[in-house]
Amino acid sequence: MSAPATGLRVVVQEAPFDFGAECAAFAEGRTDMGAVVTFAGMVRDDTGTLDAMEIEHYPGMTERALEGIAAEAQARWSLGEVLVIHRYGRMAPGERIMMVATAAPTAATPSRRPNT
Amino acid sequence: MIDVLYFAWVRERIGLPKERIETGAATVADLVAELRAREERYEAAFADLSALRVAVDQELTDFDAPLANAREVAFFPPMTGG
Repeated sequence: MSAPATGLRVVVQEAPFDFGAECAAFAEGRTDMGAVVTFAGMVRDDTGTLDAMEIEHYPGMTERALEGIAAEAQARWSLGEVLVIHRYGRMAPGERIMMVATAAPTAATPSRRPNT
Repeated sequence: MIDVLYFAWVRERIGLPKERIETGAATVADLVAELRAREERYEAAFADLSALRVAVDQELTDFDAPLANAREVAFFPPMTGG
């Protein structure tokens, strides 16, 4: 596996993450970044009948695929920092599944995302 | 020797997550044909290839992909999200 580009971090984990702490720590110390945008995905229960969802993943391939997407976004929008955290395993409604944080020199660029 | 990995309902139908297979299959499709001929549970898992995705050495590919020098083949349902 090739080393991720500078300022790009992809984490795949089972444990919950602290969204607030991750956002606060993100791009800390970067004095060349003027804008940070964050996004979190949560487990949604439309009908009130969902106990939990289970995410299974393919270790190795998951990290590589996420790093590829993140690196593409980083290059396309000149992002100085990118963080992706994605969980797997069992998650109840309301739990955070994943988050993305991006930083860029100006506010115009960091909130765009590639079409999926 | 190739490591073959099964995820989600493919794993459930076949009954194991991973196995090492001695095969001379030239392509993914050839490997699938070999597996289907083995036992009913493989036939059940691979009955509808349009409902399956395949990765060779952790890169998504298609069923025509060659297996020359491949170390790992994985089968799983299409990924969803959002």
